[in-house]
Amino acid sequence: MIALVDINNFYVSCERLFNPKLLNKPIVVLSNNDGCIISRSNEAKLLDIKMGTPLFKIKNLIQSSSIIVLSSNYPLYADISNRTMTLLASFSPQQEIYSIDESFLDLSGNRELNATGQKIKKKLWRYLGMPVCVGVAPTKTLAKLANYCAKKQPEWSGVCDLSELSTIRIDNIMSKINVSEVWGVGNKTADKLNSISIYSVLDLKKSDAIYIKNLFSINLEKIIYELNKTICFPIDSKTPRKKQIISSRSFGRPIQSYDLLVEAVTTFTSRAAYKSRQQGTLAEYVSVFISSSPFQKKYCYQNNITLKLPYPTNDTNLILSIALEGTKSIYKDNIKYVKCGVTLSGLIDENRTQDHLWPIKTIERSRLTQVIDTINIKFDKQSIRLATEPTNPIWKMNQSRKSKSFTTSWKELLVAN
Amino acid sequence: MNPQLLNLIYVTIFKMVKNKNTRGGSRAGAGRKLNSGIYGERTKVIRVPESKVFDIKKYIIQSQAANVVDITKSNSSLSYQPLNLFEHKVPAGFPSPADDHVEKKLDLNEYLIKQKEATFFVRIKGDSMIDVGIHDNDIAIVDKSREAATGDIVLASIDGDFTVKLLSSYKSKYRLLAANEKYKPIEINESMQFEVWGVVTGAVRKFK
Repeated sequence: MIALVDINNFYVSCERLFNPKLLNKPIVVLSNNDGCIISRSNEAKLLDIKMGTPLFKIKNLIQSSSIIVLSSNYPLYADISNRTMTLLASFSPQQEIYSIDESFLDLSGNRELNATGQKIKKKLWRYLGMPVCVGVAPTKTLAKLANYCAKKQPEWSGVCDLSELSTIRIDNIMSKINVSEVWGVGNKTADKLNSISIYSVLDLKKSDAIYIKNLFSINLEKIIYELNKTICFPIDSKTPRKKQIISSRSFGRPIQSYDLLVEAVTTFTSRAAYKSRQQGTLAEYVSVFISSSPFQKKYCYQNNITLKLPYPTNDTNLILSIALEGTKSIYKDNIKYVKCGVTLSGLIDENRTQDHLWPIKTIERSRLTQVIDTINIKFDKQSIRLATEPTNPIWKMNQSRKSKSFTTSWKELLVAN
Repeated sequence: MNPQLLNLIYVTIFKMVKNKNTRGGSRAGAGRKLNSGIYGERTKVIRVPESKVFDIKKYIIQSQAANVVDITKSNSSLSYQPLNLFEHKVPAGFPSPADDHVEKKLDLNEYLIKQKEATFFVRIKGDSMIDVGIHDNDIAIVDKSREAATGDIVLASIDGDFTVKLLSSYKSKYRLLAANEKYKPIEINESMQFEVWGVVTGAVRKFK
């Protein structure tokens, strides 16, 4: 049996943990740069605010319904997420952390699934003030569905165990849920499925897997098997290394000058290279993209370039020199850039690379970056940095409504008198 | 095969086994000179996990480059600073040199924190708790997982504001008491939004 534990309205829940004034009020949390809504409290959901809505589109509603708007505080969310995942790990020898607020647990051999689900729910509430829903079923796809039921249907009181139910009851539940709610079925696929008269989850479950495979993909075939209790996606407890690393941000305000763009590319490159070093990979390619505002369709300029690195590397200086060459070649004058980013791809394990016939000073370089990384971890981020990397850039993100880093900074601890 | 030849082979093998061999084998002073390897000392074959081979090699290479070793070694948790506890009996005479081996590493986290996933640090402002030894600017250690009982020092929220006080009850209602006679008890009534957030299990203070 597989359980899926999912924290309700995760970002909002984290904010509420350290600010009880936010309880029972409509709250929304914004994406990076205060752009779109990415987390909503139940009260905000009732006001029909949709996920992903840009903030400017609901300015009036926010005023009229006194909705509280917050910038995202990722250091806080990451810390609470880590604590949650560690607590969940105590319930099962096999855990797959699926996202920042979701985790699969292998509960095979557990005879009291519902009771365990309730225990999980209670513990996370007691220990961390996190409200969670638990879905239990024989496969991941079904566990996702069970979690959906636990979340949307109050009669489960937060824990839905499909393994206890008869097939007739499960089919009955499935017949009432739209096929687009199935894990791995996107909106486009759902539309296509509708066109061949598959509307509910039950319709998909009862459809011919081979036929679907030919029409759609092998993935959808597997989903059908999973809906019929055959495991096709086993629990994967190893976190896979990322195949590519993207570091990008939209700017707090548009920038035009080449020098400022260089600052941004430098900052993103050093972040991406650092991430690559942390996961022990070397990159073969670096891409740079720059973009003006897509909301001004007429003058929108977007471009990107991918360059091969002379050899696989995670050295900031080397990657940067190539990335800046690329930036130069795609930069155009008189454009108001609002976003740029750096992608490292073709990542390979740093232990499995081919050595050079004529070794370039890679070892010394990597020792240097290692020392710099260690200093930056020990003291402050950016204690040692490249000269073109600003500490307080004029293009930095708008995060005007960010709460404090209550759990990760001595200077920003919760205060009580 | 020629039986005579076969016999000869047998006899030769027999002799080789029987007589302690005086030829071949190790000779004193032969081979690489002691401690002349790249590490300048005796080496030993050990089994290590394959995934760590690179790290170990890297560590060895770096520890030879003495000027960088200290800083690259310490990438572990930065809040963790173990101190060595020496179990060292000093009888009237002289100490036994065998006694001064390292017994255990002491970690303040271990001393102060029971349930690390549910533990949070809170900065104290004001003097309302000085009689229990919690002063202005101290850091209180709060365990959210603990069930609060009367008599505990708790972190509570009243109408959205956090406060650290002693939890007590009076006529079946909760009361929050300060540990300083300057402050009056806070009576909790139904109109307040009140929650005991966690139990204060300790406090730390730095002098320098």
